Amino acid sequence: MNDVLFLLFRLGNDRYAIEARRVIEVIPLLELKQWPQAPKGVAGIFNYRGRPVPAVDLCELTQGRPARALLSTRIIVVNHPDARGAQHVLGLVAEHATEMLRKNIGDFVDTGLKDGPTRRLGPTCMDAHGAIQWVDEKRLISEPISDLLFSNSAQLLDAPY
Amino acid sequence: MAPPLRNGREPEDCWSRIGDAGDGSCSELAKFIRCRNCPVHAKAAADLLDRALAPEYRREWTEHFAQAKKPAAPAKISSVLFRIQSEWLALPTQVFQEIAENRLIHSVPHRRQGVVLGLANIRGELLICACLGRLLGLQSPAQPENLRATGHRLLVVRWDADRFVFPVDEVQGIHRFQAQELREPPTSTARANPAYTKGIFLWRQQSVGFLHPERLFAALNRNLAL
Repeated sequence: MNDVLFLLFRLGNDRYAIEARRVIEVIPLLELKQWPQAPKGVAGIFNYRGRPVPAVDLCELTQGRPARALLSTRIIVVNHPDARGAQHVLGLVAEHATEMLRKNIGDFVDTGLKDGPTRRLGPTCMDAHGAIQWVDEKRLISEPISDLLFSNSAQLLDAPY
Repeated sequence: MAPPLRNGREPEDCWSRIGDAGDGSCSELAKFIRCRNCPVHAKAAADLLDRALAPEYRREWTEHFAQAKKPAAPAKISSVLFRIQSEWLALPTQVFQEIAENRLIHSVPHRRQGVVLGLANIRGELLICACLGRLLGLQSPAQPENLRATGHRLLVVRWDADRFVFPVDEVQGIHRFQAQELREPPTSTARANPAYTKGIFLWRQQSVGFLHPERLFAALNRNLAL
């Protein structure tokens, strides 16, 4: 009844799931326009159907190394509401973004573990290959980065590719 | 050729040795029946994506996603193409009931000049046989008409409750086209009466008049008395 469709990806050896209804499109790893002095984890900006969209490298954000340039590394384009409730489009660079999973919400349990001083690890479910953590990119991207991404991106993409 | 896998190995193709493409000796087959249901097969497919991104591939897709998204093409219009004399015409496929062999058309007394050619026996039913060429102004009414009609095929069409038969010279078959391919009929050059033409589309470098079934059948009904 409460089955939800998820898109799976990997950060390091761990698997994560993002709700598919938040995903606009999954696209290949494009050429990204570098952003001078970008905060750590911001991979750059790409032209998404005529509009500049920032890309955040989830791998760099959580593992400290950029995502590998493989066919299985993809940009997950999501709707990203900021703290003030405005909607933005954001690209998430993630490795092994190749699988979908339909799972009951009830299968995800809160582990009670903390992944930071104030934040808790997201709900987790188990399957034959181990744990899958339900992730919301808002928990991974700190507010200063988010503010920076969506106040400046419009001016940065001055020249088309 | 695809670039090699990152670890330098091609996936092991157990399915072509012991699976359903091989000798079928794999013990897992009892559980999965076909190799494509087996997680080993799925993993091999996923591993194919574990290849380095080629710079051209990346550049191509970058250009692709920089373009505005094109909405999917609307449903195609299906029509049947046929020829009367030198004019190619089309009607929506939905109005056709049958394309029949030519047969004797029974003349109706005092109905030799108008659009009605006579009655045709279609599966035991007598249907009015009309000359589409005359209605559209392709043939002059004065032209002496052979009762076997000029055509080689009879189109049996139905609109609302009315059924008619038209002799035509040639039937090409079903042709599909997009709504935006349809252009305004050029009023000065069209030989077929533009009042009955919805638009013109191109087919093998020829312009084909796509007829307006509603107007066409209304005009036929009006002309039955003539």
